[in-house]
Amino acid sequence: MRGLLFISVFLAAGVSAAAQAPPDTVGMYGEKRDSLAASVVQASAPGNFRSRGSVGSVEVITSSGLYKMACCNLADSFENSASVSVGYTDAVTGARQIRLLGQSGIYTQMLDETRPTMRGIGGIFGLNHIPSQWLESIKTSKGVSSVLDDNEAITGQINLEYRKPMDEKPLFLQASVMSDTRADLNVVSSLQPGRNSRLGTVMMGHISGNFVDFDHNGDGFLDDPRGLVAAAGNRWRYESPSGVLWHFGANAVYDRSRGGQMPSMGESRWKSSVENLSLGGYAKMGVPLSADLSRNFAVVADYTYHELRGRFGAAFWHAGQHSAFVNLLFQHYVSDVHHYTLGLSETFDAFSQFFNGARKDAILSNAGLFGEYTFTPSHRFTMIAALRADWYYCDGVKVTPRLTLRWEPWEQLVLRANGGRGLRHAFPLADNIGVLSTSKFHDAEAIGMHLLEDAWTFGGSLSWYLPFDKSGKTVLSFDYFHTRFTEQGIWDNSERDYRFYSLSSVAATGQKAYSYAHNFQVDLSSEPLRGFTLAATFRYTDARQTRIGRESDIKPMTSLWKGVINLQYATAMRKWIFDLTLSVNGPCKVWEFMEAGYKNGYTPVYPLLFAQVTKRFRGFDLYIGGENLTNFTQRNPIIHASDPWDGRFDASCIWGPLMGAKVYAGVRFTLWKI
Amino acid sequence: MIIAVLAALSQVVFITNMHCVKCTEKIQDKLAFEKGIKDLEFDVARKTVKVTFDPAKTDTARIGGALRRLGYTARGGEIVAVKN
Repeated sequence: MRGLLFISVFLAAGVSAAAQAPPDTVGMYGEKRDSLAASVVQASAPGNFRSRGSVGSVEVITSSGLYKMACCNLADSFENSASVSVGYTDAVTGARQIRLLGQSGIYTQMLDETRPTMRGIGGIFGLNHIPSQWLESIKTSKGVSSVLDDNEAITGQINLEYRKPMDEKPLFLQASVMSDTRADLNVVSSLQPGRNSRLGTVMMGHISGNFVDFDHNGDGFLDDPRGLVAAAGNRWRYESPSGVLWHFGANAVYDRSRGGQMPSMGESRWKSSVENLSLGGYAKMGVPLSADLSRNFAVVADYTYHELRGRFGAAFWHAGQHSAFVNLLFQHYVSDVHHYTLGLSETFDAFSQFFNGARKDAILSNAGLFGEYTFTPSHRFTMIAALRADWYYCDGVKVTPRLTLRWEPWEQLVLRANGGRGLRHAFPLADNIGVLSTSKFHDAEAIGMHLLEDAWTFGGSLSWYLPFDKSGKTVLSFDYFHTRFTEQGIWDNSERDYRFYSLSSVAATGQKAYSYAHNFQVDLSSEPLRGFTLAATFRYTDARQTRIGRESDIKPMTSLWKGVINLQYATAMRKWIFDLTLSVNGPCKVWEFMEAGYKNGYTPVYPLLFAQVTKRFRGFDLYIGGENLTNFTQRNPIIHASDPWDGRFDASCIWGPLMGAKVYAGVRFTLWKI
Repeated sequence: MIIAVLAALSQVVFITNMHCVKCTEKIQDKLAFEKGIKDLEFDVARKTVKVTFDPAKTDTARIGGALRRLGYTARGGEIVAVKN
């Protein structure tokens, strides 16, 4: 067991400590995914499930879940989740952003196997740059989680587990095409020299694109930008005879997209073009310090360079970001009851930006000292108390306390509580690139504003494993989380002006200044018949934020509720798999200047339907499916589309789908190592 | 055709050296397309695979051989139940 725990240390155990405790069976210990303590009687892995053993509130999307839909990239992977909503930042660039707990995805820390990723400029198109077929699982932790991976998580963490170097799959191929000509191709190869090898590597390649212009709603703008994404990654794992474990790798992404008005509108048309280039590398080393692996040391180092060159109508934005992250960890398992982790970390970002000829450079850095203590007096109770102190360049010392509790009063009931602080630097344009798809942004000074956002999140969950189901697969869960900001960057949109200011500047006007969200969620999952699974989720959000000179404190463009039902039926040995997902998306309040076009100032409720049939053959799968089969699209998504050079043009007010019904077909080929 | 539907199926349990969910995925992907195999159930903790098969089309020796070709041990292999 300690050997497995050692691996979890090595993997920079922030999430593993707070959110992924022993009984989880997927993606937890790297290659050895299941704990031997876990008794797994199964014929198939569930697609999405709530992790029972995790200390925090964790939802897991497994590879089976990623196969339920077209899921070309990470953004598509959350379509059957109510917790995480994905939407376009604007109707022009194709950039997408998640929302969790009623807040923008910028407050959700993205982790690549527990290393912070998709930060700042890299986060703008980051969801489009990670191919779902490279992933083994996605874990969403609600709340503030661990402090071991920095303290940027405010509403939660999303940890991406990739396909592993030690997987026995020398070749995996996937290709799909959609009716809108979006196509993608993925190749993954995991290789090890011989059986019981200490060395393994996984190579990953991806190319995807949109190749035809469509303007179904006749507004003169492309519904989806034309573009191309190419990505490659290579990861290695090596375990030396002395027990030292190494993980290292590199990745590269290139992406270009062209959007805006249809080419037929002539040379004077409103155009957008964006190019992204990302290069990165990382290394992790885990060193056992004692023969029984009770004391371990780990080093994690990560570097990424991201460059974005964008033209948005008359605006030009060229931005570069060097990001480095170093984490040193010492973990000691004193006994089965007590263990602790101590560490040091440094997060460094150097930005250079040119916006319409004006240069805005910035250095953002924080160095932290942290400790996390886990108390497990019995298998029914766990407490994780964490504290870190960070010195911020320009902002001084900030202390981040966090606490997570898990209590299982009896076998069918699990209660969790979590609370603490989160801090992150605002990157005004990167946090809301949609503002560039308007003609209202004139404040170039805003993009260089230095602002450390500060928030507290508290919440908890109750999971009831219904006693009439011996398999333990029928679970009713209830979540509540509350996030309250003490400092935040606020974007405020009006008919002719799109402004950025801080929450503290709202207070400076004499107005009440607050920003918070309450989130309630109910989940039911069950397998009433063997092979037939059902998952139903409902989420309600009450998000409030005061803005300068505004009467209403209801946070605009934030959906009040969302319901999702997912049904899957798989025949014996999963030779045929049928998936159906229906989501109903609740209303959101629109910006004040849009209210005249909406009943009571709220968007309509709309349904989305996804369906897929998969037929598995020896060595390969074929699948066909449909997205947005209810064919609902947002009417007039671009304001003043007829005159984009007018001062009221705005393509950033997106609350619904931009594309109607689409069908797709794909193939997956897997070659197993024999 | 009616005779085939009504044919008795047998169940056999093999004790293997599988250790993770990925092992079950590999075994299921490969054994699902072996002639005569109708269903598979895994217990990772006990390292067992219960195979439901049509004895008119395959037998325990062939199934055990298929497991071994995937790189797993296959001990046991005695028929534990007959289903109609």
